[in-house]
Amino acid sequence: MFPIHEIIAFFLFLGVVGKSAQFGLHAWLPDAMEGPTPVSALIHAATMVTAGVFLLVRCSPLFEFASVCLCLVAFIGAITALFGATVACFQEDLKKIIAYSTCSQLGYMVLACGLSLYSTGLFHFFNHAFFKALLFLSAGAVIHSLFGEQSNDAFTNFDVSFSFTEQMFFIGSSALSSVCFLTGFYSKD
Amino acid sequence: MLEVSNSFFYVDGLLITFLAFLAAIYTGYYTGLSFVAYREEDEEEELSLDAYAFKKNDFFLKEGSPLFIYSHVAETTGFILFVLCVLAFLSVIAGFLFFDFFLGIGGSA
Repeated sequence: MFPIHEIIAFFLFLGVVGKSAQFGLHAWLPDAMEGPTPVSALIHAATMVTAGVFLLVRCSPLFEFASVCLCLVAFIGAITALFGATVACFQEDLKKIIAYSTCSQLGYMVLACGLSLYSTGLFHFFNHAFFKALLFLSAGAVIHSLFGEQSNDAFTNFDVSFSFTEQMFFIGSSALSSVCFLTGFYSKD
Repeated sequence: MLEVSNSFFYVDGLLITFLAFLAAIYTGYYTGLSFVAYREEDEEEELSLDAYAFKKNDFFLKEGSPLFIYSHVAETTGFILFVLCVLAFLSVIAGFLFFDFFLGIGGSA
């Protein structure tokens, strides 16, 4: 029989899985993209989904004594990171691509917590907020100027220049991809 | 570790406040609220949402344009440009600035 602290940690982790859209309970996150872009940015960057990671960090003393649950945390985090990034490659909707990217990055944070690297998870959580907000708000600018069109296919039909927004996208994507000396590089390194 | 997460709580609070402010401003832009939107000069015109226009809206595609052959600069301007610049700057520099704050205190292990 599992000790009581393992059971408590497990149920806490179930809350984290739901709140932070980890593998298995992730479906709500891309579907939440129906809302306005600034709200999506707020939800994805700083407030809602990251609360699960924050819960993991705050309860770290308990999780440290629950080694079996900690392995599960690391496993689910790794699966989510891989799954989110893979699914994002096959999405057509611009905002859904960014949403699955959030899912993947949350997987990295949970994985770091599962490996007892709580500070690293928190650091990535903090950095992620900036470049994800940038990506969402840039996406909002593009969508607005294309009359609400969000499909990837539709973008190829428009001969429109977004030179400034493109640069913003490039900076955000580079930080997300951990290009050297950008924000994502420090936390993922 | 807990000291770091406690400190983080306040930093994240600031971030949430900042993004909530952005969301409010953006919503104002999109819905044409008067405190952020550009009002056209004709004061005699009856008040309606149509009287308010997205700032420099001329730079965006027009309804009814032949979109598939339309070539135009659809660029962000004004406050949105400023916000994107701030976020882009933080996206570049935040990792370097806060590295010691998160990983220097208490360590990562």
